[in-house]
Amino acid sequence: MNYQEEIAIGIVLLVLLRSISKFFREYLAAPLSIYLLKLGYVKWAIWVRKKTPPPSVCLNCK
Amino acid sequence: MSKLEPNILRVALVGNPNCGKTALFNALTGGRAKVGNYPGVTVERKEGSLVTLSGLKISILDLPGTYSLDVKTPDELITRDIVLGNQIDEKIPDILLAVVDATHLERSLGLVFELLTLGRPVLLVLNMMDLAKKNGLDLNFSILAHELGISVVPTVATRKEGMAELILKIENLSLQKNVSLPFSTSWKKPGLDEIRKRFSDVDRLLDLSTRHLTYSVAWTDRIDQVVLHPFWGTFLLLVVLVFIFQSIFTWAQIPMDLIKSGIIFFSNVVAIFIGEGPLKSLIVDGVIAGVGSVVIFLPQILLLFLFLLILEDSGYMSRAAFLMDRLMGKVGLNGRAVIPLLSSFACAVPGVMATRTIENRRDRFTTILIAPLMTCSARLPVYSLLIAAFIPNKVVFGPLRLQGLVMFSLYLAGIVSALCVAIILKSTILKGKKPILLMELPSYKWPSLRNICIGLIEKSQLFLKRAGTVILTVSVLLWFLASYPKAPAHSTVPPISYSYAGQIGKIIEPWIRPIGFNWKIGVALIPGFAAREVMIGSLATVYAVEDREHGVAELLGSKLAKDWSTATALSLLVWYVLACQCFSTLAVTRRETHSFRWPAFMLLYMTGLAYMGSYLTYHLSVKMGLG
Repeated sequence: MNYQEEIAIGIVLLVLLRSISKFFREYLAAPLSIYLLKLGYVKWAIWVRKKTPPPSVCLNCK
Repeated sequence: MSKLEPNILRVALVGNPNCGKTALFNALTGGRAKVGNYPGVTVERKEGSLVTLSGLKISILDLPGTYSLDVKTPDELITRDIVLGNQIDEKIPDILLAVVDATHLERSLGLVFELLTLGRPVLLVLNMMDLAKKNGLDLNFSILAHELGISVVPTVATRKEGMAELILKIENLSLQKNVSLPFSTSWKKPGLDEIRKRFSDVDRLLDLSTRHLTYSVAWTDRIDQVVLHPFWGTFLLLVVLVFIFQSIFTWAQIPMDLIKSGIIFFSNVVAIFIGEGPLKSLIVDGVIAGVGSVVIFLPQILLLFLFLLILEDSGYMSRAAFLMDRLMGKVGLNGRAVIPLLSSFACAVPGVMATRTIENRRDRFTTILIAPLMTCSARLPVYSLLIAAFIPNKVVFGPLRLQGLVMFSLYLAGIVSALCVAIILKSTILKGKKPILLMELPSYKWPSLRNICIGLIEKSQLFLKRAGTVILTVSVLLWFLASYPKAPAHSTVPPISYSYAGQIGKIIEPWIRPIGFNWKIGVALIPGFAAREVMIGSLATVYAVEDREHGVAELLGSKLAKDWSTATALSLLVWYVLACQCFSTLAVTRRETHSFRWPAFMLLYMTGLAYMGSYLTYHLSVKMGLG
């Protein structure tokens, strides 16, 4: 692996991690926290809920 | 912020739809909330804040419009719950600003009387005073204030007139009354006698306080004689739509060419500074090819929004809804569904949210389910790319060209398919009576240059933000999938076939081959679920990685024209008319229907429809010699 390849793969990994985290915060955190609350894991539900952004706004409009 | 802070004065804007609450909200807070000259623009609470010269912190709440607290629709329920202090996590407003359209006091004062029965501090804001004066109305503010027992402030929110007086009156009211005590207030549904009495009170007050200095047929009525005419009105609507799509193609060409040249120049510069290797390939074939191929369409997107904003701001949008009521009636819906459907031309997400103005649950769900079939702005880059690559730009008749007509017919296909689906839904799972349409038509206004500029700036920011986030991310990830693992030395097969993208594509291909798609389209369709236009970025990346020699110098359209048949392009166009390629729409449908069942149904029926449509289109096109 040369230096160009190392940098390129590093960028890809960073982008991948960021997109997984964003997808989780945007779409999974809210339903997951509700589910955890139903199961009785209140602390975990609060922790996950903190990761939830404000109600999502559509990307093409305001 | 102010939900929890006790020292902030909470002021709520309450009034009929389209009386200028959001314009007042923007004038008070310096906000940029969307303003439109049609009822139902605001379907959610919005919050902004200001600090007065005396240091008083005020939180302003903009609420959806309502004619009464006896609510019928989900958006009106938000208003009632907040006004009465029944909303969880939301303190009751300390002061209610009863915003009324000064030109339509007879419709607005009923709600003011109802608000007064709550025993909360109320201020009357007479908005649109400039139009009232122009219409020859002379309002006696002191009589109004005396009879209602509250302060009255005349304003023109769009020009920020009367704001200083309004803020002063709010401050005075906050000092006069102990406005922060009760946590909720009681309200009971008024009986018939109470409603009759309220109407007679409104009539009496109008007799006392209002004088018509001049009587003339308003120019709004004169224009409506043509615009709302069953034949001429519909003809005009069609002419407006054809003009829009024709202009999108013609007027955007020069800025698009400039952006194209900029992208090619930029990729050449990058190529000079970074030597041959994977990093250069990532930046040129992945990022620049992927993001650049979508950014090119910014001028067309802006033109589309320019026309939509002019139609909204002028008051024509409501007329279009009125004209469509008869057609909507035939499919079992009413004109109220038209505004959400027209909003979906910009994006299905606000369209789905705008269905909150629909009273009947079954009508609301039907409208939600068909809203994604209306052609949103994210489809525009896909349509433009394929039309420019496969449809000759020949003159059909006069100024009409084939490319513009094809674009118009794709929009029309979206509308027709939505209506057909509505017929099926309304006669099966969502059967119900057709309600009567009662709709307030706003006065015509010259579109506000400020509103249009703000709207266009916001759309550009959002479009570029999406290009810089979602499309950039997908381009980088897809570059990796299309580049690794590398092909063995001396391989005779194209290297991309060995890659992960190639392998995934080959798995998908048997399912999409019957509709004329190759594996590269299949690979691009998957990230296209994040947002429709991402498909273009993905295709650009896959084709750029495959053909590294030309990179972005040879534009995507020319590459597609070489690789695909016209039948494949037409099939993909039909797929994009009908398929639900949008995760945000599914998420907002889940939120609005409070169920996973409806978004799942939406995804299934639209994918099935798209597959059938593409299959028929592809095979018919092949039979016609376009294969």
